[in-house]
Formats: sequence, C-alpha cells, structure tokens
Amino acid sequence: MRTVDDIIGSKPNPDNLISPDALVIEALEMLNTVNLSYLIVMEGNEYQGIFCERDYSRNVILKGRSSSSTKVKEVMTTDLPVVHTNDTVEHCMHAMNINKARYLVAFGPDNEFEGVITIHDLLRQVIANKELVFDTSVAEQLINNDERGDVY
Amino acid sequence: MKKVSDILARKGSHIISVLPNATVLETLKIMADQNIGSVMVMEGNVFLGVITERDYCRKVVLNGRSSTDTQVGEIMSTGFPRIVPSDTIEYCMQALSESNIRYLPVFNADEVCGIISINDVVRETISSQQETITHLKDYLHTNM
Repeated sequence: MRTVDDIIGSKPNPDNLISPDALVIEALEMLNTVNLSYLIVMEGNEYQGIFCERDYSRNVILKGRSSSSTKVKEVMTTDLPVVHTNDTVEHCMHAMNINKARYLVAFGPDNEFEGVITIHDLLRQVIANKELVFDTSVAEQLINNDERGDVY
Repeated sequence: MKKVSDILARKGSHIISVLPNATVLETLKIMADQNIGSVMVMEGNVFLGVITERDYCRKVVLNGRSSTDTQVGEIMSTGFPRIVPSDTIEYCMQALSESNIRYLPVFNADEVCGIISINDVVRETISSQQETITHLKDYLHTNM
C-alpha cells in the first residue's frame, strides 16, 4: 500500500521555498523559474503555508492589492488539509476530494514538516501503481476463492 | 471502465466561456464568482483555447502587462490533447500527467461539449473504486 512517505521520497528536495515577507512579484518570478504551481512558505525552518497560483488569482488584484507591494504572507494559504507519513495514497485522494483541495501538507510522527503533496503527485502514483494504491483485498478474495471456499 | 461521458453526466456540460477580447481582469472575476480555475475562450461556437490561472501567473505582470489592458486571447493556452466523451478516465490521467495540465476540453465531432479537470478525474476514480467495492461486497454477501 503506497503511502505519503513513498510520495515524498519520490520527489526531489524542494527548491520552491519562499519567505513570508517576500513580495508577491518575487513569488511569481520564482514560480516561473521553478515551473511549479506553488511555493512552500517557510520562516526559517518553520512551515507557514503555501503560495499558489490560486492565491495570486483570487487575493491580489481582485482585492485591490498589487503584486509589487503585497507580501506573500498577506495572501498565502495556511489551512491546507494535513496528512501524516503513514497515511495511504488513497487516504490522500479522499482528503483532497472532501476538502476540495489540490495540495496537502505532510507531517512526520513528531509533527515535523515533511513536504507538500500535489494532486499531480497522487495521479502519478495511481498511474504507476494502481493495484498498490487502492485496497483490492475484496476483489482478490472474490477472484481467488469460489463459493465452496476452494483457493485457485 | 469509467469514461469522460460519466464525468460530464455527473457534473454537467455547461460551458463557461469568454470572447477572446475579454480582459484578463473580467475573466478573473468570473473565475472567482464561479470558483473555477479556467475559462474557455470561444468565438460563437468555435473553441479557441482555455485561459487558466497559470496563464495569468506567468504571462501578465512578468511580461510588463496588466490585467486590465491584456485580452485573454493574447495569453490563453492552446494545443490541448483532444479528448472525446468515449475516452477512458485512465487515458485522461495519462494525458493530464504527461502534459502537466489541469484541464482537458472535451470534443464531440469538432465542437467542444465540456471541460474536465484533474479534480473531476480524481473524484471519478475514487467513486468508481467505491462502487466496485460496494458491488463486490454485495456479491460476497449474497453468494457466500
């Protein structure tokens, strides 16, 4: 069963970190340079939230702000659904679906920040490992056992 | 095997679109009002492209433009893989992943008939998995 740990382990070390006091325009430049949809906002070693394309689209010009004078911390997302390193990929899909989110934040057993999981990460897992993502034990029981209880 | 037509049946094929000369700012307002991340760009019945949050992030301010003086036709995304209602969800997953995109316009004989998003694909994958498990559990209970 694939877990959050597997996803984080399969991603390179993040190069999309930004300070909460950086300007939105700097964040946009970084998004372009790293070619991602989000940045991880860190205060030193402390996770603060993420700044994503939606934050820019909804919270800057439509709220009378400008990208050259607004700080990332004024517009970032801070309430991402939380998952833990032992949670399954399937659990992550449910979490995204129920919360209508495209990102999850992952914490380890001691509540240390582990990384951010995107909907594309989950899709890659499903494509690569469909039988390992979903619990197929019911299907296997059906396939392997006939009504008399014999095993094939 | 779930298909694109199943997603469209569930979410509807109502298309939200703008003309290519609509401003980026007007389109951002539509996105916020509808809580969506993309809008189709159409001229009458002709599909021209899709304007997405990514287009806004990459092509306006960073290119010295503003959302009030830029038309969506100048920055929209084009060149999407062609998806039809009979395509499978798995095919869509591959298309989304390979092109690193979030939206797939759906075509029926050259006319666009809807758009599906990466969220729609995930939702359909989960619900189809749950249906399979429910059916299998029902079968087990009645036959064992």
